[in-house]
Amino acid sequence: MSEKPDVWQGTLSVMVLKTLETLGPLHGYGIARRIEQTSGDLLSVNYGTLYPSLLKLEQEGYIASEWGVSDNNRKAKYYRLTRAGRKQLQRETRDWEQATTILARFLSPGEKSS
Amino acid sequence: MRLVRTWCLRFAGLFRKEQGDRELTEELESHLQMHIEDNLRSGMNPPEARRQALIKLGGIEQAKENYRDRRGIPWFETLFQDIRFGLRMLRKNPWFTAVAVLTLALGIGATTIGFSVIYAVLINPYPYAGADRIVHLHVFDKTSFLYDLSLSGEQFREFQQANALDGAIAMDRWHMSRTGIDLPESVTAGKLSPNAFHFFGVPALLGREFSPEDAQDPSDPQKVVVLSYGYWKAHYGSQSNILGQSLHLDHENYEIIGVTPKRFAWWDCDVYLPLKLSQDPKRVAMIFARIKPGISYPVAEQELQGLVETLARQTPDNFPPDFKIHLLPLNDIAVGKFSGTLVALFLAVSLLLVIGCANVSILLLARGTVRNRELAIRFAMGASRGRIVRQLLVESTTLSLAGSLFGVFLAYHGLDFVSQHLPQGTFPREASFQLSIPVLFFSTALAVLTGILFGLWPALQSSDPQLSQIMQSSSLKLTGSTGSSRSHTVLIASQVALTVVLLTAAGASVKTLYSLVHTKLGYDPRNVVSMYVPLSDDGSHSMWQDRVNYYDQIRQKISSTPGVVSVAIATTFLPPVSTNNKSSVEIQGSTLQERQVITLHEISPEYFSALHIQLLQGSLWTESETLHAAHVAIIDGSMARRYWPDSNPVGQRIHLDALKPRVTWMLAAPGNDGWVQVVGVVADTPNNGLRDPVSPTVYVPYTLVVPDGFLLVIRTQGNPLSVVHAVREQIHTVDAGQVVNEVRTAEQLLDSEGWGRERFTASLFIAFGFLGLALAAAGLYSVVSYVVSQKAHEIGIRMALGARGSDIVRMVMKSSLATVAAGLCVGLLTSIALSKLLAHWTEDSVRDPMLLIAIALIVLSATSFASLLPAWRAMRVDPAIALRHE
Repeated sequence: MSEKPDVWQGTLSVMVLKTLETLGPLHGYGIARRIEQTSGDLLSVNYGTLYPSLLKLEQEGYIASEWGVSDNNRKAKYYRLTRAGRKQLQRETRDWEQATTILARFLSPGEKSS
Repeated sequence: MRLVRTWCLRFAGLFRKEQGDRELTEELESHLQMHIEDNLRSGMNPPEARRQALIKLGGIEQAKENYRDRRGIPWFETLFQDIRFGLRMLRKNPWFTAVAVLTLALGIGATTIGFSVIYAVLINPYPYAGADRIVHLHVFDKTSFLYDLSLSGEQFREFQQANALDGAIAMDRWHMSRTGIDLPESVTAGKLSPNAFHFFGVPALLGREFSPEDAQDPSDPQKVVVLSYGYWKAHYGSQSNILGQSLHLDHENYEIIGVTPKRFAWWDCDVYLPLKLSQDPKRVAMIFARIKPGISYPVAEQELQGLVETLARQTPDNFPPDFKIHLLPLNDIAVGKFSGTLVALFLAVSLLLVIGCANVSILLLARGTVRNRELAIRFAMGASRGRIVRQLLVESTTLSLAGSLFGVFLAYHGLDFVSQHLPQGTFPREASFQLSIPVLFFSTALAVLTGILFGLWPALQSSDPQLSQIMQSSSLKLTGSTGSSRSHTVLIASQVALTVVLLTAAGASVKTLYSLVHTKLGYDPRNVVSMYVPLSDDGSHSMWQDRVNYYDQIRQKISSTPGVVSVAIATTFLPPVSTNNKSSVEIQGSTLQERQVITLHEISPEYFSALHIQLLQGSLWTESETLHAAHVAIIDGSMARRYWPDSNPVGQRIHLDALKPRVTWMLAAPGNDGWVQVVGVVADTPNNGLRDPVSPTVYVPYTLVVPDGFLLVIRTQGNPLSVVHAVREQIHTVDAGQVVNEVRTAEQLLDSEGWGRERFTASLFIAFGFLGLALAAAGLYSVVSYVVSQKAHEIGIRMALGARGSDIVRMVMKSSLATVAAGLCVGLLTSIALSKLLAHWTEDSVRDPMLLIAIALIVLSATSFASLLPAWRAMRVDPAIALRHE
């Protein structure tokens, strides 16, 4: 379990935004679990990185938070995507797609031979 | 935008720290619990579920720390911490703080005030256009005696055309009576040629100033008057609705057309009127001109010389024979000799700033060395160097800023105080004392920089890698690093040296003042009052006999006033005021080729009894001789010594050039040919101030040439000011329209004219000298205290081994006294070397051994005391405690 790599700085915020877009308002624990599951348990999210990142997103106005009650009656802070967050997610998605495409071209074997 | 929003939120985060912390704890807790629940659901037993969750999530405190850094602005929070810590340190050492803050404040305050005064008085005293090129025209004759250049209206018009001039004005200043009110008041009127306000280029505060249109030749000028700011404020309560009202002067109505701004105080007049440029060659006025830029005074003098010589051919009587034109710059008139003193005072003040900065450096260095160990511990605990530098920076900046704020406060309040205590007559009325902001900034910046530089010293020192050495050395309390103690020695020694220079200047100025106060006066200034009685300008008493009768009638009326002992008539001010009333003299039967200048006093014979001036030889002339304008004279001792060193002057005949009247307002007695016979000799009285030697003097009856005003000299039984009202009433009974002004007691005159400047200079120098001494002593005290605390361990061992208290004191004081002695020697040598410069403000030589010895003793005793205190404390150290201290 402890061998799992931490999330790269910078990618975590995209993952958080995407998670909130897909699942709607969610608490920190839920976000962390979802990211881990989506990564196929390849990533581990501890709260030393998660909560500062959530705070940063909130300060930037991409997400908003309020206290609520969880499924099993526990008090928890729920985060939801704002309109600005949705736009930011679109922007970041585009950037990432572009970046991965470029990188993929470099790394594909066909590219090497030509 | 987003960035701004983020920073705003982070800034806000600074202030809701506790709530944020609570929420975060709750959030993390709920996160943890959810994780544990999930683990339980997946089949773990409770302790294991909890353990796994904690492992997974990482350190909770570390997470909180990361979160906090993100929430607020970390460096900002530590800045607050540093400031709080700095303030706590300053509070913990109240003496250190007080001395450092006061030192900085005094340095900044004194320098700024000093420069502001110099700026106001010497650099920018006048509001007039091109004021640095405005000159008062004088002529001097062969004997180098200066006369005002006086031109008639016609001559002035020609003079104005001169090439070297960028404008010229004529002025006649005289007293007028404000009439039409219950008691007539004396008003000083400046009658200015109509172009004057254009010449000055200072716009009116209210209404307008007069212009050439108000005085078109050949008719008389319009009856208009411009009030001075001071007169407007005092007599009209600064009301703005006075324009168009009339002012009754010498029984005529003048329309008030304007008020001058506050700084316009030309020749200190109450009101300004247009001058009639008369055709009468005897109606003359003073001349002022502005020299064209780029033309030097000698060149201008040469051009004007030719022009005025042509004019003089028309009215040779108005000019001394073989005269030379002399240009007297405006500021030389007002400030004159005092400028050297002001510059010297500014230098002294700058020295004070240097001493102050040195003192702060010493204090900070001494404290920094004591703190080396504290810093070493901080390093060892993992503080970064940047963090320590920042902490020290914040501390010393706090200190410097506190000092600066106080300094600015001092400067603002001190300037008012100093400008109110400047001796009268040493600065132009136009000077406006304003704080010089650039200098305030400069001295503040200097003080703050000093504070920061020397406050950082320990941090810069601690940056060297021998951390462990510092720890060990300070824990063993061995002698501190030699580098810092050498800089202490240099700073202390230079502080002492500068203080000695200041004290020498103070000593010299006190000596000057002392000798002035103890000058042999030759007259008795107690219970004497003088007042000036000007005739009005309306042409009354314009015949010789009528005028003499009028003056004598007033004198007799006053002599019968209760409380009055004797009354005399004079035409020049009382001693020690120097007078412009001079004459060249010719001795009958003398072979003296060169004509020499003497001082002329035109008086009634009661003058000598009123002032208690001793008659040395011969006799006084009688009252009836006065009224008949007898051709008699009394000379003073210095005149007798100069011309008749071996013979009896009584009975000799002398000719006085000045007895020939040149202007319309002097009336010569019938038969006055300028020859008088000496009938007596009286004691010398100072007539050139107290510092300059007595100029030979001749007293003649005032009736020989009667001016249009006279000075009443009154000796009283008691307080001389108490009779002034009665005297005014007596004069009122003679002529209801007669005004008096310039009421002054002989003691007041002696104080302001005799030694006012010297007292001002001496008191400032004494203040500066002792401030410097106090600062030097405080610096020495802190250094010795620091040495003692460094050596507490060593002292403990020595005492345990049997050293006596006196041995300890000797050990502590040896090095500090050597430093002081070095500074003292340097200071004394510097003072002696600077004695030429010091001579600017004092005629006494500073090379007076008694003075130097006295100063050495003062400095030695003050510094000994400063270093004895901590030494005494060291002596009382209990060896057991000192050794256990570690």
